[in-house]
Amino acid sequence: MEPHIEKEIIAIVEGLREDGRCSDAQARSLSSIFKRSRFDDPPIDAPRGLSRVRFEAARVRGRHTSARAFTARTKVLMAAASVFIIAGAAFLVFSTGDGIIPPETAAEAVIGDVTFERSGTVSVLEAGALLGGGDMVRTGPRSFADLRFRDEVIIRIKQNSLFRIDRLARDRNGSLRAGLDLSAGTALLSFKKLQRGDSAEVRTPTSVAGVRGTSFGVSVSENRDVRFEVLEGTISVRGRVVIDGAGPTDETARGVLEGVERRLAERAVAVEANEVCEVKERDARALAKKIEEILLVLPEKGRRAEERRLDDAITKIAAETATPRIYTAVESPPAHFLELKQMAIIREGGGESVVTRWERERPVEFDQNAWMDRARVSYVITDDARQLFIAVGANGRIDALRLGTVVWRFRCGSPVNAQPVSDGEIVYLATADERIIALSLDNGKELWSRKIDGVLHFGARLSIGGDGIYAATAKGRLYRFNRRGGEEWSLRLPAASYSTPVLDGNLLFVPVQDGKIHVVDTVLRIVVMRIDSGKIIGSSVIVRGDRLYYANFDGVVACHNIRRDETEWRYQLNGAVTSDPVIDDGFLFVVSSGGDVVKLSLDGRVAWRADLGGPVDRSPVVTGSSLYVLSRRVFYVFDTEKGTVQWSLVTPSESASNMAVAGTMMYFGTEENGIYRIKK
Amino acid sequence: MSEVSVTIGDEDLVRQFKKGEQKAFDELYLRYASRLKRLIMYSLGDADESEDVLHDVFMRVFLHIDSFNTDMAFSSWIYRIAVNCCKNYRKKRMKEKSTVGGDQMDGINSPEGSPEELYIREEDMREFYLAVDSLKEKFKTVFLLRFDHGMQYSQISNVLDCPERTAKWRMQKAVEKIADRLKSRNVV
Repeated sequence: MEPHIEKEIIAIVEGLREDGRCSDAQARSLSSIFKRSRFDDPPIDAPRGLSRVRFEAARVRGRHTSARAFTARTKVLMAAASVFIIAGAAFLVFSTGDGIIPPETAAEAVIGDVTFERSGTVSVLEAGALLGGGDMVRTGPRSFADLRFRDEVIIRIKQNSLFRIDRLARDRNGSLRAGLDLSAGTALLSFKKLQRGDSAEVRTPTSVAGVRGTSFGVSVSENRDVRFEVLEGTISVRGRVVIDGAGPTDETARGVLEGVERRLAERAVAVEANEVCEVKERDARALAKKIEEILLVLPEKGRRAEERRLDDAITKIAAETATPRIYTAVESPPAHFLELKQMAIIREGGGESVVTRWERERPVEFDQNAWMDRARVSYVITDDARQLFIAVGANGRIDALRLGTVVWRFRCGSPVNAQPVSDGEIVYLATADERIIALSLDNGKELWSRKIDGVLHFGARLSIGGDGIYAATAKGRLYRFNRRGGEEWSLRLPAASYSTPVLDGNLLFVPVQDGKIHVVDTVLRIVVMRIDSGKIIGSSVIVRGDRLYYANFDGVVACHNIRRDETEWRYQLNGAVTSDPVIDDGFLFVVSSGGDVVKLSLDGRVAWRADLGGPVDRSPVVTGSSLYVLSRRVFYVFDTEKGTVQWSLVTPSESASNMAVAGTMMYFGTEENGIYRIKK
Repeated sequence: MSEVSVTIGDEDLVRQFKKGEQKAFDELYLRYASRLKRLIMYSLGDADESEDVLHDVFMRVFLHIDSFNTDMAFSSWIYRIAVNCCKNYRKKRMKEKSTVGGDQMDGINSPEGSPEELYIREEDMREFYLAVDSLKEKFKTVFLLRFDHGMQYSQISNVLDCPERTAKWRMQKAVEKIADRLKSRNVV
């Protein structure tokens, strides 16, 4: 600013002070701001601009002077302009190829001690410098650097950080390819929403985050624990293998590492807006130790059985590695949200003050009612002692709520395909990637994760009995774990099991798809009895004293005397029974896919029977004198004495979960209309 | 064809261009494109559109150079065209205002203080640009021509076709409005 103009402005500010419109301090600040302010020149491409003017001017003149032929000079100008434009377009097309990619990431603001390393040479990073693949930026104390890739990505590298750009460019198809690596310190990243075909990944020493267009921060602590804070959008986080040094050079060993990484990638967890995710170094270290043990006894090539065992071992150790832990913003308050918000606004080109927009867009408090209206859940469970309501999404997302607030969250990284069970302290989950996960009900912390052979299918659940956890899988494997996750034994069954094993004393009743209920002595670990039951799918058996009650896929409800090993009575329903029967007050309640709802005495006499006309495949619930039955679209409340419908509720979309009771409330989820909460 | 000298006056370049000397136009373009684009960009608060508006300005110069009276300063003439093009653009688009504040990250020259302090200064600058951007068109144009382009009031009066005292009054009001906004935002 020229001195006389500066004087003029200071005089205006001084006038404001004298008029009492601002204080001395404000006047000083205003003068300082005016002095410091300057309007920077925008980039300009003069040759292109000139060609464009000439070219269009020639066209306009040509239109307006049609009687006049183009002069030779105009033709030359047009030809030159055309060549220039074509050359420019060609440059745009070919310079985005995958060959040598020119550095495109600009250092926009550099404060303090910031260097970058390129091809082994360390240089001071200055504002305006361009960085590209392979460049590593190091920030010292009280320093930071802001990097920008076009209008698509802004990266703030905070103090004491080591950050490498492996790749940040658009490929020949125009797709974004971003590979970034934070070894130490903190980086805040703001990505424009990624399009189909784009890929972006941020690696840390212990984890990898896949990006889908979002604003998030990542910090690597001194002990290499990693923390992600997601302000907007979603990232998927997975652990990675930490091997000190250059890693193995042997092909088989490299295959082991790749195999583990691939399996970890398959169960990456989604971290959503306002969530924090932590990956502990000790978990990555434990994984590395297991891998090192495997690498010591690698099989020789061609030994198929050994190779299969190696593959199983890789799958097992990847499955049993701790899942990245999710926290709500309340559980673990994020430290970088305001700064991330500022960066997102800067990337978008501003528009209004950061403070104004932050206030406007500040995440609203969690609204349980709104959440329940849109939640899509497969299972709901409740814990009265903790006043917890736990919703389990089919995608493996678990939200635990208390008094309208999310108290913890967990992402399994794989769908949950069996109704979770709880022992009052721990909730156990069975996932589609053949794992059992144990979570603390107090805080959602993953206590252990174990690989099993096969999934729990068609309504089968884990079973808690004594001090053990039992699982019968669709691959015909029966397991017993202790509550600390130790696998105590497993047995191979003659066929798949699609039902929940039930423990009574030392005897475990396991319906198997060979049409028999196998009775296993859990102490001797042998099958002591086989009961012909027909195929049981999804329905649990009930043991009362010497009698075993079951309902099978053919719609038969039966009572088997275990002591005498004979069937005492049978009762036929329409359709299949695929849900658990319930015994209450000396009566058995059973529902069927043929729409039957029946109340039977324990000696097989019918108290009443109702026909709902449509399939019922959720287990009924009895409380007091009411029987709750959930068909595909209707929720019924029966009088248990009379068998009449007291009232019913039609849901706009199909039910999608079991029913759960908490105090006076009944819950169930629907396909598209959220979770219903009904007062009993 | 004679060589164009860099010391030649704008008006002489115009005369040469009128006679068919293309290089004279190139020279005028190189002299004015950058500063006019800056004026357009900060005036419209839209970096993306400034390229097209600048193109319009030079198209008008190219096509209507015959109407330029060489008794007048060429700079005033081309600035007037630029201001009018901005007006036309605003009328045409009536789009929601945006700001270029986000692009102005390098207003900090002294690496003193903590990064946080520097960040606050950066915020000051952002708020300053937002304050300028929030000015009404007539105040903003005078402010930019005076503060950024260092124009005399007599020249501003020529560009805007208004009395000098009006230009001075608008400048004073612009500074006051910027100050008021910075105060209301607790920047000062």
